[in-house]
Amino acid sequence: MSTTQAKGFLSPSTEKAEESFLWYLKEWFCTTDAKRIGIMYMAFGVLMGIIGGALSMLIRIELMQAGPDIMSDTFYATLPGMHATLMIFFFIIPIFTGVANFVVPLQIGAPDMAFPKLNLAGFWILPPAGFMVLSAYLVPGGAPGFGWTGYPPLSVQASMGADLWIAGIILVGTSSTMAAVNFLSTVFNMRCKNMTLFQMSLFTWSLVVTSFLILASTPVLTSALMMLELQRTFPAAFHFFDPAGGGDPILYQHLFWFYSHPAVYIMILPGFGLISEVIPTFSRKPIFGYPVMAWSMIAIAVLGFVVWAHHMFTTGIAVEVRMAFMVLTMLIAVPTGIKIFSWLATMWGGSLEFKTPMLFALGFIAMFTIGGLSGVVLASVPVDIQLHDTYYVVAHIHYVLVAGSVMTIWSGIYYWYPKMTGTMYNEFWGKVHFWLTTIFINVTFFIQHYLGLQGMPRRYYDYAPQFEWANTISSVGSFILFAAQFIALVNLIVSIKTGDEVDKNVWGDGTQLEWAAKSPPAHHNFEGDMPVWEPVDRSHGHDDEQAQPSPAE
Amino acid sequence: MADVEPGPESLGVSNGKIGMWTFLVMDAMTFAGFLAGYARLRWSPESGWPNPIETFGTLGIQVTAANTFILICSSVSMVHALAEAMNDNLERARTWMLVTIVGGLIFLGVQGFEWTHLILDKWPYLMEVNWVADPSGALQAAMQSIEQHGGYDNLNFAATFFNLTGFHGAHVAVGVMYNFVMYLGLRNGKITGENAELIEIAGLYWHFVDLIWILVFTFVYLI
Amino acid sequence: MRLNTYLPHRVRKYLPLALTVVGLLMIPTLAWAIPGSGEFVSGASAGGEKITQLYNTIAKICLGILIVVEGILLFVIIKFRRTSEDEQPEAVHGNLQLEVGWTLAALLIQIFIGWKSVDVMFDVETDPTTVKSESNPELLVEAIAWQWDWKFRYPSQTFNGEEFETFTSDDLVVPSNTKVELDVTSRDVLHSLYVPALGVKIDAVPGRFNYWWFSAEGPTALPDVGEKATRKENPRSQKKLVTTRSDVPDLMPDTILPTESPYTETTESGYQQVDYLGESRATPEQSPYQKYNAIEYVGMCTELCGKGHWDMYFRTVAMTRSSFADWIEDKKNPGAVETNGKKLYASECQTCHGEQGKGNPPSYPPLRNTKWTNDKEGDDITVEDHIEIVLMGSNAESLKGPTTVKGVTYGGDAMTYSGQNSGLYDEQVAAIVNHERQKSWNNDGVTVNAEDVAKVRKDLGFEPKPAPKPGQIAQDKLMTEGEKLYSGSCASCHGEDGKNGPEVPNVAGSGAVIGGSAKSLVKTLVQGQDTDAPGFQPPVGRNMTNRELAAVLTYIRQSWGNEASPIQPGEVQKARQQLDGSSR
Repeated sequence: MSTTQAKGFLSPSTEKAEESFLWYLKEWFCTTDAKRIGIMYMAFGVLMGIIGGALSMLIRIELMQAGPDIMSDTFYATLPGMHATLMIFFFIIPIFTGVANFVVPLQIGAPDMAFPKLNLAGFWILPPAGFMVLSAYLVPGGAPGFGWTGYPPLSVQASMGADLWIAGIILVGTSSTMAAVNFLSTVFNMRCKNMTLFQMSLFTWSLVVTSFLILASTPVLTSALMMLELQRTFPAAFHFFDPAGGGDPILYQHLFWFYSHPAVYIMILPGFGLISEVIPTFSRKPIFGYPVMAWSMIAIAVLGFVVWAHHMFTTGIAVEVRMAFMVLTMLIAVPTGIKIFSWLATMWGGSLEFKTPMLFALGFIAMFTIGGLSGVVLASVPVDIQLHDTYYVVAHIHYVLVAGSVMTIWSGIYYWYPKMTGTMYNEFWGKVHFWLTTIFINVTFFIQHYLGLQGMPRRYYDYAPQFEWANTISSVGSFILFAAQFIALVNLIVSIKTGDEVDKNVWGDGTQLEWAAKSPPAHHNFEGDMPVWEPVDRSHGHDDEQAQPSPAE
Repeated sequence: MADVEPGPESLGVSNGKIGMWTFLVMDAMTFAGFLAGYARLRWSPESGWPNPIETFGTLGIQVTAANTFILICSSVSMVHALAEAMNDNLERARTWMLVTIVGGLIFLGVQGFEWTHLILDKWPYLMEVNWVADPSGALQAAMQSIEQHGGYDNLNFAATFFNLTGFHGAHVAVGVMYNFVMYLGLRNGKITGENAELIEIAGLYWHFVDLIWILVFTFVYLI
Repeated sequence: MRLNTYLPHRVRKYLPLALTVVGLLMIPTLAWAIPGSGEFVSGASAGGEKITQLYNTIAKICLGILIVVEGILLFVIIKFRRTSEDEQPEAVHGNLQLEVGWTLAALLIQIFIGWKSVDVMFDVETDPTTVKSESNPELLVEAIAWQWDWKFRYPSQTFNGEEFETFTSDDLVVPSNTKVELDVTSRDVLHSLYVPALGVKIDAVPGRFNYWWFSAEGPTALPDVGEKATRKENPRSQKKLVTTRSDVPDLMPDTILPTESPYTETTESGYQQVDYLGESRATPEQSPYQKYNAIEYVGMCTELCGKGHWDMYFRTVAMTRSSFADWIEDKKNPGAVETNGKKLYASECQTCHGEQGKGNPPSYPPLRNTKWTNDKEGDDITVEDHIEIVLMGSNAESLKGPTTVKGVTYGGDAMTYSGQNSGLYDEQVAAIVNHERQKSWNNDGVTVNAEDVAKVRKDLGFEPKPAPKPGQIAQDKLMTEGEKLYSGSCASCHGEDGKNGPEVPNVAGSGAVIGGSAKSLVKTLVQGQDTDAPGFQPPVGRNMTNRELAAVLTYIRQSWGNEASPIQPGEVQKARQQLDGSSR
């Protein structure tokens, strides 16, 4: 691969790197440029996503037919947890961090992140953490078979792989808190002239909110896991979760869900922000109700901290407590509903252009609504008790995380891909990717609502025969869904070489500052000219000169 | 890190300070997690939690109180170090920094002494069980050992004690190292009145550790 | 390079159409979400029904919102698509009324759902009764989970006027339409008890009991208790949901739960039979509860508890109260008849004749190497005489008058024991005889079986008394239940005396009833008569349990002069499985 054609931040900055690809690679690995770190985050996330997806394929192959098929139940028990761990901690969260690393400094008109070295260190914690979690498969006793939740006493009882898993998760938490500290410092302290907090793009807003969530919730998971590890390592001395020594197994669940419920918002809020960028661009309209959109994200985050016990309705907590958590949970639907309707209102009366990012955004709205509504169903305590730990919950979480987060990730990647590489992806294959993804997300996961209503518990190695046909549909759908993702990978990689070159404002209607930078941007984003934010007023017609956000002369 | 300057629309402080504040929010939440666990274990019905004053003894509490005083004093000396550094009195700043470091070390030493005493005299079951050689039988062996020593009401009293004081002690140890780096900076002339903010940031951390200790001391020893 | 230019034009043209077709094919799956289609399974208990209704309400609201959102989205996509490149829509930054409007709408909907949910929540979870009474008994069951199975402990209590001692069961057996209090705990890790049909789910947490209650619907054709427990009919009382009890370890001694898990790992090659799944997976399994008047619901574990998590099925059996009393009785006397000769000898004969058969001269004769226990001397005493002695004692032909054994004379009429009067079964008598004739007592070791005993009994003028087979029910019980069922479900057409001709066929003396097989009779009752035959036989037996069908069939086959063999529930179950694979 020749590096001489690369432009902007992609171009090698030393002579050695120009000549040797290895040096070029070394330059990437040691870079402090947020854009390069962001792309490394994304590459790492995609890699782990492929592994996590492969694990889910194993699950679906096993469940395709009733009866034990290709693996032992001991091995199967490890799969749901490892799949979830990889997808949540190593795929969705890092990819959003990556996109944000690339986009946020550009959008606030900053040359880089506030702590570039911390940024690099935060990234390089991830691969060892991923390696630790995966290497649990290689140690005696195998990977932990306690799900991604790791409830004690099962996780206390588990073999050595659990220690690797715990250490890996603590490292991931450290990495994401480092990124959060960095984002907050950057956004609060590095904005360009005229960019007040309520002039920022909604994507940047979503990162602010997400970073606060990470900052306040991830440490609690860390402390829970440290207590768990202490009890595992020194069983004689520590009895936090052991009733025989005066401990309480439910305590872990409280601490765990105090993190893991906000984690759901950590995984979806950047997506919300991203959609709020894509839809105005392809509708040629400003976002509807900008301040409400920002405040509703803050409301979701605040409420997200006080609903954790809705994951624990069956553990025997008091009726009154469950009632309170139910009411708070239902309240979250209000700001979420506001967002959905605001997106619809943004498009209303607009001029919609259906490029791939827009398609993914529309697919996201269509399917995330299903996930949100099944969340309303699950919020109701009596119904939730019946559906808890059944496939209904599996369907719900996948409608939120696959039809939600993953769709927005694709939307964002297609949206900013030309900015990242300076070349355009192949639109046709992008659309094929979209249609296959959308259709087979529904084929795979919709039927699981039915399974859950019928009473099929999740994490089951085998099931009653009447569930077989639905599982077969789900499995076939998941195979195609997984395969379809490789279309996008090939498309995006090939297009670096073969795609058409693009201008600064790739879509013609981008109004944020990243569209004022070159494609791809220079090493320090704006080549020394610190930009000045001037909000684009679309109501004066679409005049190219006027509509372009302009760096300061 | 200091090479990235704040933008035009900043909060008016350096990036480093914002970074430290946000880091402290995160660290406070870690302690909050531990303290929440502690509260849940202690104030659950029928927990049989022992009275800490009886367990540690009046003398034990007094020693720890004195230790607390030393840690607070080291915070004061940190303030002095910063003030002197800002006035470019680098010699005196160095001395105050050294006092801060020594205060932290004394705190750690007293805590180490306390741990040794508690493990050897108060909760011997912790050491009598060889959990390395026989992890699976360790719990039963611990139970037997506890019975031999007259039984304890709730084993998590010791567990949360070591958990909270240990995690805090690790913070003090990190703080001592951090301060030592600052001391070296002052000595080598890398830190002067112009970038005395570095000491201020280190001070933020040190005061935070101090503050947390007051919480831990109150919860674990006094209430 | 534009890859799409390489696709044939036809493919490009029809691709959207093909994708639309696939999308339309998904609509049937959407139908599963349509509320009220009965797919939510918790319908077999009062609480479960309420939860199902609540689900249907919420699902309807959600479906409405979904249709609105997707409708607007579709409309927007079609209406506002870009038609020309120069289009410049008006910039709208917001609309206060609209925003306040949908915020309030969302809030109101949530308040409504929340209010409904709170209502059902208290309804379902509040303890329905405050005082146990004669007419309103409650049962307390403790469920203990462990890796990887369940044990149900019935602590000593008085139920329905009967007192019983603590015992355990592998399955959750409860009286139907009765409030059952479940206290759930675990021995090792977290588990969760889940019975979908009853709307029961509660975690099993080590170190404490979690409380839940339910009232399961049972057989409906012959309910011997009516009232359902719901909050509406009873004053509210709030029960503490979690109790910590110090006796948890005492509940789980090694004698009740094995310390070593019997679970063996399933590998790719070795297929392990799943207890409950097995019923429909491999060979049809006979439920051990088919002899009771009961309906079964499947129960399982829903909290990940290790590799065997998926294999923690148990049966939840809801029985009529009289069947439940029978079940407790069977639990007390573990059903099977004792046929171990040594044990029977010990309980029936040993007191006089000694453990080693040496007797106690001069009062009780030895049994070793005598002519009564031996045939090898060629005397006139046969093995049949031996059987007769066990049955009749001194009234046996061969013991009439004083008897001399090994030089000692024993008085006549001395043996007052009688196996006939003691109620021994044929098999038991045979076992005693075989034990006494064992070779180690220097006897000939000739063995007899139940038929030999039956023959001797017949010769003596008694009825043979074969031991009841496990899973079978005494005939008189079937007859009593059958009579009730007949007068309730059949007599209105067929008449109380089985004769109501000429329009309706007589049951009394009917060839189809007397000569018909169990399968044909079950088919008639479950499926109704086929239309070719004159008249109309409604499928009255469709909702009957196996036990009920067996009772009514036995009744009509043995009443009004009919003398056909009785039909046991096992035969009914087999017949039903052959008919449609379903069994109740």
